[in-house]
Amino acid sequence: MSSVLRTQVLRTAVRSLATATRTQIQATPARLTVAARSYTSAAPASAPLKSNISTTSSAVVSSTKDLIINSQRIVAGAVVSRQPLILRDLTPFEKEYFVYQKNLERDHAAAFGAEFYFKKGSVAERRWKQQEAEKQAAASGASTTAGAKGSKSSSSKGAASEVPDEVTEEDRVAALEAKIQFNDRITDADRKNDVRSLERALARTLYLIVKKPRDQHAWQFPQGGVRVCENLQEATGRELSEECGSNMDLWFVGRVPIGHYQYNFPKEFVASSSTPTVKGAKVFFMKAHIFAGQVQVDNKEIVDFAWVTKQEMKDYVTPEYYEAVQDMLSDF
Amino acid sequence: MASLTRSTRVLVGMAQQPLRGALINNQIRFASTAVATKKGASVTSTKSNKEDDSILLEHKGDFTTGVSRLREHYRNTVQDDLMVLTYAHSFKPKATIPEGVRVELKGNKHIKPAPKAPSSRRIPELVKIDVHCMMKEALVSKYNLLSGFMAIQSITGEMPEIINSKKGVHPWKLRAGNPIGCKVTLKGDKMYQFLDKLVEVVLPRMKEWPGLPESAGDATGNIGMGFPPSALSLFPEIENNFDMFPRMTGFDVTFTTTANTNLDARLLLSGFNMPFQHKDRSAPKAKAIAAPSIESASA
Repeated sequence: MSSVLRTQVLRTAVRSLATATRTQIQATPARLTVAARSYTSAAPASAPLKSNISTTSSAVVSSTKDLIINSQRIVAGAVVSRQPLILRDLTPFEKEYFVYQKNLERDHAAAFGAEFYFKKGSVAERRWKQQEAEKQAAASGASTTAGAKGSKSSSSKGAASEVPDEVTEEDRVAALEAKIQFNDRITDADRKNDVRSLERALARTLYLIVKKPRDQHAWQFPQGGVRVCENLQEATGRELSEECGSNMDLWFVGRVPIGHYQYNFPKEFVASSSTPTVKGAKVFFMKAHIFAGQVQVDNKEIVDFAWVTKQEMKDYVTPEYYEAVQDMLSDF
Repeated sequence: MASLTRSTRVLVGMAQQPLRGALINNQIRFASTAVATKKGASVTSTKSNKEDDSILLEHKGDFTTGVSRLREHYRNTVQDDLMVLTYAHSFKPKATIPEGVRVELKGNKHIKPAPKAPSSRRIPELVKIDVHCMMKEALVSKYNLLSGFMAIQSITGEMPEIINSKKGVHPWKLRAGNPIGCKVTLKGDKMYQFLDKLVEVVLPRMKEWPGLPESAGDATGNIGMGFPPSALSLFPEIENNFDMFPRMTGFDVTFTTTANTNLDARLLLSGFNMPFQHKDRSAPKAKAIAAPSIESASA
């Protein structure tokens, strides 16, 4: 029996390998537009879990039997990640370096052909001149290389003293409109330390972990048993919708697992269970990205969840579990 | 010079500006040869360097003035995903072509040496982007090339290199050595900036463009695409000064990657949000599209 099942699993894996790349190209993730979409904007509750799962023909035979190979239960786990939404924090050295390089670039830039880009006497030209004078003034004030460009800075000072006379009301309005408001890199969720929010730690990759209603090994990645005639991706998608609800827009990265973790069941558990031949479980982790939506807690399968970075995960899961999964996770 | 339009005169001036130096007067005097050929540019800079140190020369080096958004995205996300998507667990190298030897194929295309086993060190990466334009109008007068020259310079932020024709074609009145086009090779941060602009600003505004075809690629991991003259005006740099360019020109963009197959190259570009055409998958064709690396491994 087990050899038959093993070939079945292998065949499923081969099929998924062959079709994975073909489907993935179409399923281009709209990753860069993520920032524009709100995670909290809930999809209709009745809508099924949105993802790129494509069913195999074998899945037509619906079976609720668990897949057991070599007295190990095959389990599919989901590593659902939220990618960084903003650029990483710079070190003080990097900041200094970039400022220095910016000044160098300014000094070495080819002359700007203002007469080409702006019609003479136009509002745009005046505005540009004003901006340029401000920039020059700021650069000569801030940079230490200003001394080398003495002639330039003195000419800019002259320009700066002239410009205010020309500034009209129109310019002032435009300048106000053009002023860009930057959002804070630290969000409310960060301040409240709300680990359930997807809008926390914007510069880091976050991973979804869920809490099962039990005392030991409560926190882990969402996972569940693979059924007979089901591939890993289908099993992961099904388990995610069972545990975390259907209000998530996911994209599965390929149909092959990115890692695996094997553990043995406690002896009492094996003795009391209905299938005493099953000694342990083998968890295969599938990678997915979340684009919208959020986990819904049903208080049956899971009681809590958290979006955490790799380093924060250490505080939630057991050391053995962390040891097993840490290499799959991103340090950034 | 008097016969030239105002904008062309400005363009001539602009093309000369980076050639500031002792020879600039000569350049202006010989306005008929004012199109900045590569040769002319290099001569100018070296000579002026000797003659007058106070003249600020073109600095060719790249300045890293900040963190590149797409480079970070590649490092954080695309790289990891490509590793998962393209990894072949069993790899049988095909009959190998020795490294460096290029074998000629049909259709005047060359193939690269046989790909090596996939590894974390060999994840496809974007190497460079070439932006190139050829202007037929330059046959009539080389000043016509300046418009394309300035346009390419505006959208890429780099000074283009003039392309002269290698051969003369009599029916087209093309003589060997005539300036006929220009090109820019972008690498590093500027490359990612250009890709960013293309993907976020230009491509979404191209009406009725369905995306790159599923078959995009030259079989060695490079992808090229052509743009109509109308696309040039979608670049924010050109949009605001549209009137200053006497003629719009179409241009080609070539993405050179380290990928070995079209599939890997397309995967890489799709990771940067490059749109690809969707085909209806409900009715599978009798002949499936080859998924070279992975299918051959699983077969």
